[in-house]
Amino acid sequence: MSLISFEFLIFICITAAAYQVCTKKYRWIVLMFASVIFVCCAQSILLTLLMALQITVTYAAGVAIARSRERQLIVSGKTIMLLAVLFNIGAMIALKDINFFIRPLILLLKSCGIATGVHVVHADAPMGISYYSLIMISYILDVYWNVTNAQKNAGRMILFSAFFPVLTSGPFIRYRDIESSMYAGNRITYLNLTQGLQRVLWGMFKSMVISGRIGTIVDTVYANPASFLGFYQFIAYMAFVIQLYTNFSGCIDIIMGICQIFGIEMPENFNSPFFSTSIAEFWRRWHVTLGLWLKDYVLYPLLKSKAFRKIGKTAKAKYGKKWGKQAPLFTGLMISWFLIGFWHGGSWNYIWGCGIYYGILIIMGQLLEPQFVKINSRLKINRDSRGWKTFQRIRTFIIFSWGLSFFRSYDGLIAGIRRWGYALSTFNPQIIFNGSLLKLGLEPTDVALLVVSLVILLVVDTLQFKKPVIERLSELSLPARWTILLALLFFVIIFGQYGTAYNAASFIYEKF
Amino acid sequence: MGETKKKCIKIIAFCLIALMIFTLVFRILWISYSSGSYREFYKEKDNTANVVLIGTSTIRRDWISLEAWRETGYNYFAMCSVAQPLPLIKYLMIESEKTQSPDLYVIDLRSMSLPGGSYVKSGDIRRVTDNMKISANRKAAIDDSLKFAGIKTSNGNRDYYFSFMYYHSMWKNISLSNITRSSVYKGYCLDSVQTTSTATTASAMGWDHNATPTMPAINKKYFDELLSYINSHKLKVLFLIPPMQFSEEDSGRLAATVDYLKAKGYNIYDANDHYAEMNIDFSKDFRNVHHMSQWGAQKFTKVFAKYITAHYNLTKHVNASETAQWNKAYADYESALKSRLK
Amino acid sequence: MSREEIYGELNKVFQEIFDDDTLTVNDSTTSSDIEDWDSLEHINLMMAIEEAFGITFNIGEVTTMKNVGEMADKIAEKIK
Repeated sequence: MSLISFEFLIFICITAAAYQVCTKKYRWIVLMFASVIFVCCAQSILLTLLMALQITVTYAAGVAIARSRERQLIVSGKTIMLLAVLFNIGAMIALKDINFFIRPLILLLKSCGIATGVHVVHADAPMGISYYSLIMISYILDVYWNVTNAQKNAGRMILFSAFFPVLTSGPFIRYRDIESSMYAGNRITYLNLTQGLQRVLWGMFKSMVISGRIGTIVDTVYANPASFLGFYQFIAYMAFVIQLYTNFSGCIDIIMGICQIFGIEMPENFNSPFFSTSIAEFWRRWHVTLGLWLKDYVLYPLLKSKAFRKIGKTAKAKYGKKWGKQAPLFTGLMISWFLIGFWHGGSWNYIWGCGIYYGILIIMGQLLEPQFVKINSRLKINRDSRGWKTFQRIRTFIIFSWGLSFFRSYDGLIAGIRRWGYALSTFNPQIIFNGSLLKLGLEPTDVALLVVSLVILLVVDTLQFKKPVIERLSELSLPARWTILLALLFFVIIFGQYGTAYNAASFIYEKF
Repeated sequence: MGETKKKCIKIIAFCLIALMIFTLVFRILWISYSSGSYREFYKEKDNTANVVLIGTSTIRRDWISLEAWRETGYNYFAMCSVAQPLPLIKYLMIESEKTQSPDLYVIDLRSMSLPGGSYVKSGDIRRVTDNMKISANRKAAIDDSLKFAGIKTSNGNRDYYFSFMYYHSMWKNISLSNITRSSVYKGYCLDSVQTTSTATTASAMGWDHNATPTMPAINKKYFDELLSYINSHKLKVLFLIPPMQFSEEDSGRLAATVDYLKAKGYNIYDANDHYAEMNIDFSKDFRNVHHMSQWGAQKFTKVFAKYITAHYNLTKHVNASETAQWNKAYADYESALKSRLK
Repeated sequence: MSREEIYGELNKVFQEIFDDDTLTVNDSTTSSDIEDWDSLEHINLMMAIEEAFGITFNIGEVTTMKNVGEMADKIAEKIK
């Protein structure tokens, strides 16, 4: 069920009521049953069983690794860890990205003259597989590295692995961080309820009012790229970033708000990303938990491995101390970025646009840092000034949008590159001023509404950058606070895109 | 305890304020499809209606309840809208039976002559169901009408049950008419076009009695349900063929209906046979071939009301406040008519 | 090894990694105290410490140490 559907609302109300009346000790069981029901309603039995299989393997691995520390087992803890991690990776790839491997295989067979009659494999993946698989891997590794206890209770393991808010769009939770609040059975307090609902409302504003509307512009330009050259492309890329941001962070806000109601502490996934002054900083503020996961579970293990130490030593010996550090780091980064791209989708448009493109930019940024400092001092630019920071932010936003344009490139990598070509083929900034933007699929009333909504978004995100808006809200007087909340509530109720007048708004990151 | 109480009060107060604003917003965004007669019906005092007429736009334009009341002293009310889908007749009768016990129901047979199925649009259904009070009956009315029209919704008819899901998108079309409420005169539509006329002839009016009787299966299904409801509740019903021109196809469906009803012993009043009695002036009394003008409506109403009172026992309601209410309603209608005719 | 000796070695490693001969650390030093100590330098730092003391951290330890004090504790444990 979609997060913004009527059914989900009823589901949450019933779960919350059951949760609250339950005694503290058993509240987590309510959440566990709610998660199980949620999963079973969302997909076929087969997919649920596949999910259960992954969870069982992870659970058993965790228990076994913990036991291997106490006494000798048939296989070492390390072997168990490797097998369990490989199983989860394999399951995720097999169920989600199998075509990445099958397509070239089919082409290869074709070139050998063997016709398979198959183009792609249509496989349905269990919901949230991209999220819970990585969470399972992080759990196994944390148990192996002895930074967290293994969860011996099967029911608690189910709750952690299949927690229904997380299955929709993340974030990537870590067992060690969530253990205390997930099973604590914290009662629903007035503060958590009101602040949680405020957060849900804000998430609904972003996803229901802005996301779909600005998506129409993106759809129009993407459907017919050859007719929209130059700045049209620029605008479409930037519009897509906003569409994805409002859609994804809106969904996350709803998830976080719900978790706050149940008193469960979750890691933030977005941290005012558009205030980033560089691509590196951007990815520390956008989809934060994904970046952290890759750093802790891919990059660090790679850098610490013998192979990479060797690369470092060789580079240091040949090219000096600096390259001794940079060579393994850049290699590790490129691998990580390839994986980030691959996680977003097992096809080259994602691998390039959500991965390697950013990896190259970050590495270039580091390599050319001394040159940039020189240029800035020669042009007498004050790097701490507001003006320069604003320039950096806009520049970062535009550069980021060019990569993400491939995320939207459902027609593949080549089509995406061709789109870049269209963008660079004409120089037509005048379209911003001559009303052409009103012809991109939105009526003037919708455009006006979109502008107003984006202004609201900008204001709130700017305020959030300095101090959390929910804190600011609670400092206002009651009439002021209620006026703002009621205004926002009715803004969503009236202008939100729901009902048959619109297509059902779906969450983009739910397909992961 | 004081703190918890304060918090509960805050939550309830917030919800109440939100609800109040919501009803206001809902009212403003509502598009009444210019037929509020269903909602006006709920305002009638219980057990005061003598005759309830249910039908399409012909009733809406040809029958003036207030003139009939003036003429005969009985209370008539029309529940009608443009292209009212056939299945809804039964549900409107059920709705009416909740608060009224009329001596007679008059059912417009035009509904039976219309094609049904895909001819029925969502707007035709909404004209009625959006104005009904929320009840199990309304849900059943929505489900059956959508089935009749073959309309499949993507979310289980929820947009019809909770019509706000549809109306909230009307902010783009908001106009003054959303906020100003047009008056409905016990089901009669007195707007600017009602006082216009088109010249026509007697031969152009009526229906082809020789048309091949054809009743589509889906129409028959719902018609049977209506008749069984009427029978099981022992309601007195008079079927009306309104004064209008029926096409050849519509005549065929009408002929089948008439045969069917006659065989079951129901009464039918064909207004097209009574033009002489009504003293119809064919140059002025019709607005178009389907609807009468104000002048034609006055004539038809007089004659039909007399027929009803002559053939059916209507209970006299003697109630001072009721009479006063109808007096006022008539006065409003009269002044509106005067300003139209200026 | 005594705690002072550990810190003596640690200071050397920190000075080497962050290219600052005057740098010293104590129990409460964290990454926010040293400008260049970001997540990418962190792993280099940890590897350098491993080499200096002849010990190994696992990744979990690398990412969960909150300050230099905890680092020194862990080093002391592993040297034994």
